[in-house]
Amino acid sequence: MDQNETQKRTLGQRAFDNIWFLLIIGMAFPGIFYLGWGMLEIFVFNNTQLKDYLAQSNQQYLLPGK
Amino acid sequence: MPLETPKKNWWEPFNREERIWLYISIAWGIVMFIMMPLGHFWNQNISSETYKTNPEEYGQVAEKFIAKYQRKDAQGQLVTHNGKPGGIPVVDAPTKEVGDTFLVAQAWQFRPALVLKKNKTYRIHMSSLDYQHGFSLQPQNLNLQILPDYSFVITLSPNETGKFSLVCNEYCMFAGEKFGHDTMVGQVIVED
Repeated sequence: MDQNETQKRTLGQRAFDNIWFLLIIGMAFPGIFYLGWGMLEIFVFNNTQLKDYLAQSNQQYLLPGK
Repeated sequence: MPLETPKKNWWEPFNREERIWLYISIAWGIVMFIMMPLGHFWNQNISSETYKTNPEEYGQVAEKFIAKYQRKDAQGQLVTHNGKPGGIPVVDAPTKEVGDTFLVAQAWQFRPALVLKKNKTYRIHMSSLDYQHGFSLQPQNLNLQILPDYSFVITLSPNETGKFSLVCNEYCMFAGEKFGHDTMVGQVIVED
């Protein structure tokens, strides 16, 4: 390896040789999926109880003990 | 020496083919990323409505639902999918206006078998009593996850008649020494 060949590295190659850049993108990828799961939990899953829903929708006869 | 020392000037600029494939893969990654939120607005994904429950409560609700809507034959006998007492009950599901429909996934069965009417709308709750299961309506290839502790609701309007299969497409663990994931098949019958 000589000095001239080392200087031929492109911007992308220098970036991917940079351990801090790799750390940032390595955290960003799982971060996107954790964010996606969090959004799913916030906007889709909710804590309304099934028994409350059944009571409000005139289906009390389905409730245990009724 | 059996292996040659790697060339140390591996960081040569990309050649043309390499660059093209790199751009294609990046572009496709971006397309797929954008499709996730856009698919929601194009009705490509079923919007889930969920309620918090637990396996014991959901099991009791579903059994009460089955007791109310299980189909009876001309002699007044309860109908099961295999015609034998104790088989999977066959239920005439109520339409959305009348009430909700409850489907149970458990190792290793979907319970009950649902009879739906073509072009009517149904609200179908589904939950698991034990493990994570998959809901895969075939051959339409409609796929959902079924988890314990949540009742997932889908709104369904069948537009063709026939017998359809529900397949568990999420490997459900063995109980004791028994395995039965491959036998976990349910039925949806759509009538005129």
